[in-house]
Parts: sequence; C-alpha cells; structure tokens
Amino acid sequence: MASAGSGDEKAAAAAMITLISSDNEKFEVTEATATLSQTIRHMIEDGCTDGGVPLPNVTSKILARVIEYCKKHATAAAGEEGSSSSFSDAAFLEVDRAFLEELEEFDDAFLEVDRATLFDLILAANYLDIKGLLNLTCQKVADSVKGKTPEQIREMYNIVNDLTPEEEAEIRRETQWAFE
Amino acid sequence: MMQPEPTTKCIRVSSLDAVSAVDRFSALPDGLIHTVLSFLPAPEVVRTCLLSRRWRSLWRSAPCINLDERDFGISIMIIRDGTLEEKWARFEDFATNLLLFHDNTSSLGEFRLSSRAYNQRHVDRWIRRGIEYCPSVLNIQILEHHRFKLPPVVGLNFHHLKMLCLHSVDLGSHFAGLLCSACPVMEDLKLGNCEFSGNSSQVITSRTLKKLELECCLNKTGYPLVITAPSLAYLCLCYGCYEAGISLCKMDSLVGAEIYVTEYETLSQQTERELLCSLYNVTSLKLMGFEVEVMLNDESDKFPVFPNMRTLDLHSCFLDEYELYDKLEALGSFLQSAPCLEKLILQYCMFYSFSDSEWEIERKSITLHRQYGKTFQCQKLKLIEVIYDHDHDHRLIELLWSLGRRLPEASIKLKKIKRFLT
Repeated sequence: MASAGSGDEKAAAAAMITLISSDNEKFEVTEATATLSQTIRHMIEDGCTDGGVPLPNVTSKILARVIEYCKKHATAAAGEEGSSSSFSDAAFLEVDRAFLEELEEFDDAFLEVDRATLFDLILAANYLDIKGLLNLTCQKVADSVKGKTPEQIREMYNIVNDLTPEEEAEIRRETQWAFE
Repeated sequence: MMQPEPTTKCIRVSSLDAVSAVDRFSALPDGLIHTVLSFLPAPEVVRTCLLSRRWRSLWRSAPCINLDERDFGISIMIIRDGTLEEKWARFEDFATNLLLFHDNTSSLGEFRLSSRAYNQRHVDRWIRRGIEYCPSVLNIQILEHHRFKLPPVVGLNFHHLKMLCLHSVDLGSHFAGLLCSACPVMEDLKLGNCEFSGNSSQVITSRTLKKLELECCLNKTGYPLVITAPSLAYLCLCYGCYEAGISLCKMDSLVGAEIYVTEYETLSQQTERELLCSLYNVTSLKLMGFEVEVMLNDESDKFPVFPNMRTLDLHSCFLDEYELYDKLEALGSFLQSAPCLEKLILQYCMFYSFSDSEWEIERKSITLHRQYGKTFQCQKLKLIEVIYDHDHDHRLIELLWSLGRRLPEASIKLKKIKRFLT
C-alpha cells in the first residue's frame, strides 16, 4: 500500500501545470512548484487546471520572479533527497544547515529589487496565497521603515501628508504614550 | 466621517519622477499593511498614525499585538544600572494605553507578550486583557528563569485559541483541566521551561491538538503526565524532568516525533522504553540521548512493530559504556521492528568525538573483526547517513565497516559537520 502511494506521488510530481500571466505569457512549471501557491493548489484539487491557469492579476515579469522563488523553495520543502516527498508534513525533517543557508542567501538576493517590483511581489504573493513569499516581502518593507521618523517614511514611500496641523496635533495628543 | 482629500495639490515632483512618486505603500489593502506592521515593534506600529489620514487608525485594527519589554530598552544589562524602574514605567504606560485604545471589535489574530515579571500586577493585567481579545494565537514569554504564576484565567474565553505558547510559566493546578474544557479549537501547544504544579494528576486531553512541544518542562508533582490526544500529528519532547514519567494515549495520528533526553534526568529508562512503544504509528522519528539498554529489543520485553517508520534519526545515541559490538546489536534489533525504514541517520552516535582531545592515545593500527555480528533484515533501508565531527582513533572506520557488514543492502553516506556551530 505504501509503495503504491509513493508511486502516485511520483507521477503527480512530474505533472506539469501551465500558468498564464495577465499579458498572456505561458509558463510551464511542475506541480510541486505550483502548489506552493495555495490558490493554485486549490484549483488543482478542484481539477480545473486543464488548458492552463489564467492569472489576470500577475504580469509576466512578476510571475517569472514568483516562479523563481517557488522553484527554489519547492526543492527545500521536498527535502534534499527528493524521496521524502511521501511525508505530508516535512517541517520536522532535519534539513541540511548548508541548504538553509543557501536558501537564506537566495532570499536576500531575491529581494534586491526596486520598490515598485517589491509591491508587485507583495500583491502577487497575496493573490496566489504564498505565505513564505508574502512574509518575506512584507518583512522587507517593515525593515526599511524600522527606526525611521514619520517624515522619513513619508519621503521614502511618497506618502502625502494630508493631515491638517490641527489634526496632527490632535493625533499626537491621543497617542502621546507612543511617542515618549 | 472624514474623506481623504484629493492629493494632487501636494505632489511637487517633476513629471519624470511621476511613476516612482506613486504611493504604493498606502495603496495596499489594510490586510497587507497589517502584515507589514506585524514585523515592526509595537511603538513603531502606533507611530504610523502620523503618516497620513489613511494611516491614522490602521494600528488600532492591527490583528497582532506584540508587547515586548526589549522595545523599551529593558534587557538583562540594565538591571544593574538602576534605570529599570524608569524604563518599566514607560513600558507599563505604553502597554496599558495600547490595550485600552486598540480596537477590540473583532477577535485578535495574535497576542504576544515578552516581558519579565518586574511588576506582577501589571503583567497579570496585560495577560488578562490580552485573553479578553480572544486571540487565535497567545504567546506569553516570561523573560526570566523564575517561573511566573499565571493569573486566574478560569472563566475567560479561549474559544478562538488555536495556538498557545508559554515560556517560564508555572502552570498551576488548573491549567491542564482548562485545556480540556475551554479550548475547543486548539491545535498547537508549546510549553518551554514551564512547571506542572498542584497536587492532582496531570492530564492533557484534547481532541483537536495536532502539535505538542514540551521543552525543558518540569513535573515534580509525583503524578505522571498523561497526554491523550487522538489528533496529535507531531510531538516534540525536549529535555526537562518528569519524575513520574509521561504516558501517551491514543497516538494513532502521530506521524512525527522528536524525543531528546538527558541521562538519568528527563525520564527513567523504563519510561523511555514505554514512550517509544507508544509511538507505534510514526513515519519519522528523531531520538537524542538514548542509550543501549533502552533501544535493545530483547526477547523478554519487545518493542511493537513500527509499520510506517521511514526515517529514523539518532542523535548522540549509544554513547554509554558498551562495546561497539553491543551498540550495533541494539541498533540492529531496534531496526528489526521498523520493516519499512528507508533512511537511517546517525549523528554523533556510538562514540564521543572531540577534535582537540589529547587525552587518549591514538591507535596506530586498526583491526576489523570479520567474524562477529549478525546481518539484520531491513530490506527497504536504502540509505544510512553518518554524520560525524572528527574521526578520532579510527573508530569511525570501524563503525562504517560494521554497519556495512550488518546492513549490506543500504548505501552509506558520510558527512562531516562541525558539531558546535556558533
């Protein structure tokens, strides 16, 4: 019984899924890569991926980056041997320290993008429901504002201050306890 | 209600910069801004209210409250310089106000408190308030070794609680009972440096619990810790001290377990064996610190068959005073009860190895005994991974040789990984 199960999984791992970006570009990815996205995982489970999965909210430029991320992290989830895919929960398997370091380096390099791309990635990760990528990109934004004054944050992200001086004074009074 | 004014009048950038001047941050939906805010210290989250009208109230509805004394400059270091009182006062003022003004109309995603118990009354109040928000995740980390007695929480609502993490907490006598009756959806329980106290039996019963981690916990009540969790998929028991033992019931769903013990402290050898027997369904098992006598599967007191076990990871096992021959017999006899095992990992097992040990005379030659040791039937075992730090005294070669002879169908992969990484 066990061997039949792992056979099925091997067949599934080899299955390819076609993703179609908003500008109609097609990307062929393995199911293991695609299912890092919970959104796509549900579509596969519902059996509605024949003829490709249209992703009208994601451009080809961003989709290519997202797939790059998923490919790297899918191999991490499968474990280094690839044979351990029979575990439904691989989180407790000891993964090589070296591999984790490599993954971290990959993530750091992956985040070397301009702000517009970073926000596009956040929106794509949210739409595709890829938790790891969403946390990674949101953390990057958080790190960039950490320790900054409101003025510095506004300047960095082109946030327009539409508060009147009276409103600003009122907010400061209300939240004085957070500014001490 | 105030509506955001058209903002065109404020844009003073040249048209060349117009593309980059778009405010993408504020344009994110609330939920995504909240995700970004969840990575910031609480005072900075509140301070975003000054950015613009869009941001004015976002902090109030943030689904994550994270109160951390370290955001107020409180650390082990400052205890001596006399500023603790003043810093604590700032922390207290902030925490009390945040909990007062945070929007509590919807139930909270996560409430997290990391603090020492400098003032027990304050900490009690924050915890009670945090629980009143009905969080899905409740994480209380007391940052000192002395265990904090939880305020009375009986009668409070834990109906949304999915994950509970407690560190350095004296669980009192009501805790276990509370888990059974007041947490109908709890899936994840993590206790670190906690003590089971009171003078009644310690029973954790949950039909929904999927993941349980007990790290360096104490049970000196004289009653065994009885865990009944038919949905439990993952168990991690890491050191600690359980004088009256631990008994696991209904572990039918358990797929992964990690058990770390220290010699003569965590559990008696008898309880270690009993514990192993109750892990019958696991696919992946990691054991650390287990010794020959616990693992030896002799005729008198047999292990059950582990029909699903695929991976067995032994870390610092078989380090007691037996000959390598006996250690391999014990290992082999254990493997016989895992007929589907595919991968065996031996990390720093069988002998101590210190790269700088000068105290032993190095053997110049090595004799490999051909004659003894039976071959073990472990037909699906394809890979044995041996992880070592330093081949002291050629004992590694001896080990590999013996493994190869006893388990001839498996290939052996050797990895040198430094044991203590800093």
